[in-house]
Amino acid sequence: MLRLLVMGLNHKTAPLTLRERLAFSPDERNAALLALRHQFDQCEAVLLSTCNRVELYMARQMHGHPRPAELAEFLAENRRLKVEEFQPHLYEKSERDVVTHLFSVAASLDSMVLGETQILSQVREAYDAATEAGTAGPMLHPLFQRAIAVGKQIRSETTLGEGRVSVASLAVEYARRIFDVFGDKTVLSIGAGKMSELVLGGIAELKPGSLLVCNRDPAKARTLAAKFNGSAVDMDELVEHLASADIIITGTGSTEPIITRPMFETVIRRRRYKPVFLIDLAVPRDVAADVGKIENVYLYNLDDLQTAVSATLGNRSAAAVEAARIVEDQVREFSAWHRARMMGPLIEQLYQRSHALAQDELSRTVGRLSGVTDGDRRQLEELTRRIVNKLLHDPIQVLRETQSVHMPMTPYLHAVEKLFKLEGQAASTESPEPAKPGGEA
Amino acid sequence: MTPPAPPNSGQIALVLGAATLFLLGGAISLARLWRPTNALRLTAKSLAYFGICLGLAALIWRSIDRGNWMPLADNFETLATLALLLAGFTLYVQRAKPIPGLDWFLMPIVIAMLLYAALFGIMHPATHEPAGIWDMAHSASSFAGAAAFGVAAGVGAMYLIASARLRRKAAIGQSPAASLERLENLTHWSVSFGFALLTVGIVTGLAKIIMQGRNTTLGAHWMTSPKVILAFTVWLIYAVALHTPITPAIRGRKSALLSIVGFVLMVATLMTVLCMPAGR
Repeated sequence: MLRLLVMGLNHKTAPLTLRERLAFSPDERNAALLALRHQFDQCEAVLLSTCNRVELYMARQMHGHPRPAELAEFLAENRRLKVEEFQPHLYEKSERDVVTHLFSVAASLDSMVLGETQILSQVREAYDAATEAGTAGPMLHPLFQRAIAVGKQIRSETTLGEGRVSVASLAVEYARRIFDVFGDKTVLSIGAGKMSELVLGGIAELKPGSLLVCNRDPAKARTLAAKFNGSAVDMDELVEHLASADIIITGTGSTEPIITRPMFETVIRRRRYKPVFLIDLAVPRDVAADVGKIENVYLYNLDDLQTAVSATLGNRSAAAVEAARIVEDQVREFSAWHRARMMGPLIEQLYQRSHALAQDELSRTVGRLSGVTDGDRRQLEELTRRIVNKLLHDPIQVLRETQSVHMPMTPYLHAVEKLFKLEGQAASTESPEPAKPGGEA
Repeated sequence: MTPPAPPNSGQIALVLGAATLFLLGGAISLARLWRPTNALRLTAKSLAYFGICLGLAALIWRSIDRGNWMPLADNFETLATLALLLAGFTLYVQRAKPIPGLDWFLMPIVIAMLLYAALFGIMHPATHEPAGIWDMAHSASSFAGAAAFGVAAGVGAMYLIASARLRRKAAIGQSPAASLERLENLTHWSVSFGFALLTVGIVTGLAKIIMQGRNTTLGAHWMTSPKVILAFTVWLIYAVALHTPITPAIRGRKSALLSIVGFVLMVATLMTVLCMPAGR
């Protein structure tokens, strides 16, 4: 029987400097999933890595591997960090808390910007990657499918995402606090990702004099530039472009800063110390933090923008309350479904095994007796059936009732498996195919 | 030429009334931080206009009293004139190219000047005994220059606060705010204007001294008098602040800081002139 576990850190528990060191690019995530599968072949895993969180969702055998400490060790080895560096920032949840957490994440209730929509596609992407890597199984398939459904439900049934201040609109607002006129300004986007495009779209509405897009892939740069009537420029002449730009948006996948302080000190001198607005949307960051200490440089990273956005939101809004209620209902529903799914086959087997044992003993006893008629035998069979049912009734009833609040049925089920030697049989009842929550009881 | 009679209590009351109106207007303007309503905006603006009217009324009454329309005869008149110039400029900027919050920084300077004007009026002000066109040109350009530097200092302070807020990534509030670029431009414009006027003031002052020869009120060692030294120091500071396009390393916050330091020294120069007619 598998047990749920999530371990990770997010914007509430860890600073950006740590999150960016622990973050996984898509390729790194896929490699990590394969390594997980290789190292812990009995478990299921989904790795969610975004700008704001790195979380490892696991379904593993109770008392089996990996234990939380092993997972932390795995992350440390994979990211070439020491466990002590991030251990204090880690959180760990199990069972029903995992379901609540994942549903809240997908619903954007756990995001830095409440109601943001990007997280749902990031959850889906993480799940797809795990499916492709073969690390999502009968436990995590229904969990993630339901989480994505909950995210969609909240987007369609609540106003959580409406009227929110986006990172892009806030970047525009900050640009307006720095510059008065934009007709004589140059905007440079380094990278052509979705986030860069969003922010560039907002800045483009200010009608800057010139708009440049720079990317490792020139085709992507041309596509994005064409969208905003800008020009694609060569990455090799980055310093030249930086010196000419008043607003710089960076969002590359580089693991090291592409703009360092010595480099930008040269740039700002060439700009004759004219103010420059740097928007770093990348995690890990593209712009070294100390660049922001240079005079007349206004550097904002994703954390800064998201913090400012969240400050503009009423976190206790009615929409958030409504979304939290939906999450709670869905967690309860999923838990009931999951419980039934886990318990039904086990109880069935318990009954079957007990009745089979009773029948064996009855047959043996009847065989030793003489003059037992068919009628007597039916009476005795009915007697043993009732005794077995009565014996099992109370423990099963207690089992059903006990797990109804906080989903602690796993230890009970595990105990039942052990006590009645049902191990290996219950697991076989789980479908190897992705299951649809509610599709089976 | 006989020194003019000191202002009467009615004229002093009008100046104090103007200061009170500016104070009320400033308080209401500040209240808009919490309640940004149009009614409060209009009330603050109206009070500022009424304040200017009261101040002008005091100056007109005073001019009629002494039969001379040049309002630079004594400290009462010069300070009141300077204050009204600054208040008028603030209202003009707010109308032409609004800078939200500009009045919070400039109106305290206006109020302080009006209070000092009233104080000098009560304490029998020193007179300048105008000695002709050079003297008038000197006084007019110096005081107008000081008003421009007051604007530069106020806007410079706004720049420093806005820049600090942006650097510490403070959340953007609901109330509008001027951009750093606009504040920098206005500082630069005010310094340029004030610098030109101060240069005229210094040149005409020198011309006056040369024409007066040994009879100058600054004495034979006029070159080492506090007034002259302070005036040249202020001129040098603004010369540096003004040349940020040539020396770009001091643009932005450094330039704003220079405009504030320059204004403090300018006030010191004026106080030297106003408190000690001999300038020593």
